[in-house]
Amino acid sequence: MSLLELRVNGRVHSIDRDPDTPLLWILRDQFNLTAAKYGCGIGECGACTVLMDGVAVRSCMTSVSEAVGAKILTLEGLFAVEGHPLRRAWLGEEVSQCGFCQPGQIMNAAELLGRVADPSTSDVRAAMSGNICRCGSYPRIEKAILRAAKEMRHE
Amino acid sequence: MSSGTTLSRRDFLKGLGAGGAALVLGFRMALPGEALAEGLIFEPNANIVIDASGAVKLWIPWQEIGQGSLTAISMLLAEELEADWNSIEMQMAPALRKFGRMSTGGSRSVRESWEPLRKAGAGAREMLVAAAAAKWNVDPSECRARSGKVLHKSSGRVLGYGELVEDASKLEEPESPKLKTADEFRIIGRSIPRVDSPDKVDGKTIYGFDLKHENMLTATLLGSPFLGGKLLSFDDSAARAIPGVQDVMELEGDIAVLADDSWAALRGRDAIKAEWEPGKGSDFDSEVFRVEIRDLTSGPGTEARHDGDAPSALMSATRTVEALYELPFLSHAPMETMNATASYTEGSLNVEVPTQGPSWCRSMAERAARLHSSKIHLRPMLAGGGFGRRLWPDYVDAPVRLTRKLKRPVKVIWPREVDFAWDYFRPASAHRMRAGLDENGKLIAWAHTLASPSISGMMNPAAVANGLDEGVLAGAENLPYAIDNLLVDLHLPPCDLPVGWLRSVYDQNNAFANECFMDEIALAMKRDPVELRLELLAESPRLRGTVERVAELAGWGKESSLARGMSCHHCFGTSVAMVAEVSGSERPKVHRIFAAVDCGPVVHPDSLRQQVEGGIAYALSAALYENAVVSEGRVQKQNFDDYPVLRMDEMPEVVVETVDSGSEIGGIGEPPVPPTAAAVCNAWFAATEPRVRRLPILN
Ligand code: FES
Ligand code: FES
Repeated sequence: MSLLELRVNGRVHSIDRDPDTPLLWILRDQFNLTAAKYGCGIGECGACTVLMDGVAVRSCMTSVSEAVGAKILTLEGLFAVEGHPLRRAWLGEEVSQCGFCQPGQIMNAAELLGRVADPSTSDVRAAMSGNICRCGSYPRIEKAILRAAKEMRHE
Repeated sequence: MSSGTTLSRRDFLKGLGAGGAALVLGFRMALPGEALAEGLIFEPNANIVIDASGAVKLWIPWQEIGQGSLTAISMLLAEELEADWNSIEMQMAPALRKFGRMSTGGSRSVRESWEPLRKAGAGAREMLVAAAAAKWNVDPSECRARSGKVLHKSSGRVLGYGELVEDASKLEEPESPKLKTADEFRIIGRSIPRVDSPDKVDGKTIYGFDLKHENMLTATLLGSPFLGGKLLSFDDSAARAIPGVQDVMELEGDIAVLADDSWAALRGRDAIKAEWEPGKGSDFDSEVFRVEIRDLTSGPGTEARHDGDAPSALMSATRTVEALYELPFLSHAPMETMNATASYTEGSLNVEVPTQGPSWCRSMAERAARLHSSKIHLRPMLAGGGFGRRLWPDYVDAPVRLTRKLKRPVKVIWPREVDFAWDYFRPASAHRMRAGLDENGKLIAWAHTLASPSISGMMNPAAVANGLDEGVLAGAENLPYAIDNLLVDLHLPPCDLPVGWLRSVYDQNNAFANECFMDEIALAMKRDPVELRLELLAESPRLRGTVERVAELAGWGKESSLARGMSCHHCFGTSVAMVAEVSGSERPKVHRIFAAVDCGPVVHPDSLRQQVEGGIAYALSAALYENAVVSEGRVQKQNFDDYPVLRMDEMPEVVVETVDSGSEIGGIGEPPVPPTAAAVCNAWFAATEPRVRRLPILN
């Protein structure tokens, strides 16, 4: 155990934990930020995706010690600001079915749009293929991302 | 409108007692005429309460596992009740006896709510109108209900439903209220925003996996690494040394690790050293089983259907076509792994669980807790997928036993590896198909010998003692094609691997065999596969209609740079025909799938499209990749690295059209699954030989 400081959604939290603990479980169990989901625990599904200094990471494979010093953003933080274009697009395209994969999908999409203002369909597909959706919402995720990108360019 | 997910549970449940002035209605759903998939008896019952504020509370006995049913079902009530959509508060019903038997499968949620819920709504509307008319001393025919109010046309007087409930509740419920005709619908047929979407998009939905209670322990389980293993001994010293691990104990033959949080529980689990003794099934091998069932189909099975004289017709045929199709065991792998939470309040047990089978879960909780059902409050949670896996209640036992022992709330979570290992697998199957053509090239005989383990038989061997199982035969026995000499016979091999229902169940297996074989026959006859199907479907106009429509939609017969394949199937009350467009030689690339769907009236068109897209994705994933391999009794693929599934880069474009033949309402969760694999394999055959007869394609 050791005392660690984490900066999550603009707030600084101190916790006393084994520094090897995956960030996912700290977010979920210690900070009650349950948008990030457990889907596989081995970096294969993307359900646990959060941003660290703007980069999408698999929080199930990221130890808290690696997260110290970084700005961590979860879905709760991303959508804390009203009217995020990704939120509008996700609702507008009615993307969610069971919804369980969606927080990870949205965070991964947020990273993509932070990098590429005008992504092509193949950019979207390449960027999003690390995130599994067993309900098959893929066509709508694709549409929602293109829609959000367009809206962001015109803002 | 608000879904119960955002309401405080306490407020909502208060309504169940319906204190104060309120109009309380129950509705009982009739057993459907058609055979229930796999003998699941089903007679749900739900409650509707309109209170003095005009709020309409609806307890829905069907579980939302992602299919959008909370929205669609509520629309049925709102339509006939003439309710203000925003006044409807819907909630998944707890598994109380008064709601009857609850389970969600067989694509039944919306279609079985269709009639009773509209009737309940219409009945309530008539009572409210009658109450208003009596107040005003006018004839009810002069009044009209709209958006939660009753209006008296000539005088312009208006009363809200809330003001009328007290009087209305004293009236008799009308026996046969008048239902709207389709052209009068104002809500049904519209893609109203799904009520569960905002919370899901905001990450605010609390799934079972996310639950937290005061003083709660999080537990996980370690079981035998092979089927049928018996626990001999275990060493938990390393596990107990992990900070946060509170306890380790044997539990019904498995080992439970209890901890302050999820990570400690998972690490604790990994640190346990256990010895297991092999037992029944410990040598199970899915490859050996595949060969076994394949060989079984060389001999005749129990006859399920025999029209004409198929063996003689095959003997006398000028030409015969033969093919063997094989499908593997499949894992369900919903995104949210199995979990359940149990706790006590004042001598009553609470179980919170993402499930498709609340009643069965409650029975399991009764046994595990040794409590009468009246002392058990079982609350279904929104589930991160189900696909049939959550029809089983097995994940409820451990949390109930643990909370009973420890007198603390306990959430049991399954790591992905356990979720794979403890699945009830989609049964593997083998299909030996034979067809005979006469000297004029006419199809005169069809014989399908099918071998697959029985899900019903696993639960109750007596149920299949006569060698037949309606479930396994679904889609085989009721072949829609008109062929004079038709034989379907069945082998039900015993199987040590637990098998279970997976989205569309055996229809998926049988449709693959039927529809690939139909293309092989067309090739032998040198006939166009669409034309041949249209001819043979003369007596199945509904399915025929979808074939016609999809051919039109896809421009069948026109030049295309992509290879095309078609298939069709009718199940769960709905006909679906598909055309797949495929290219590639090493592996198929599926560009686009057209689907024509006839499910009768469409309640929520966008949910329908979601289900078709999702069904195709789920089925294509299985067709391309999925194969649950078991060797030496061990489930070999226990996570998504070994068990690849469809990802976005391989998702085809999906074009959906509905066909309205005026038929009664059908299901939509499952029907898009069965035709998918055959359409893709038929297209790939057109693109490149040889033909795929064994799934997955990328074996
Ligand atoms: S849970 Fe982290 S990638 Fe699956
Ligand atoms: S919406 Fe269910 S897994 Fe993606």
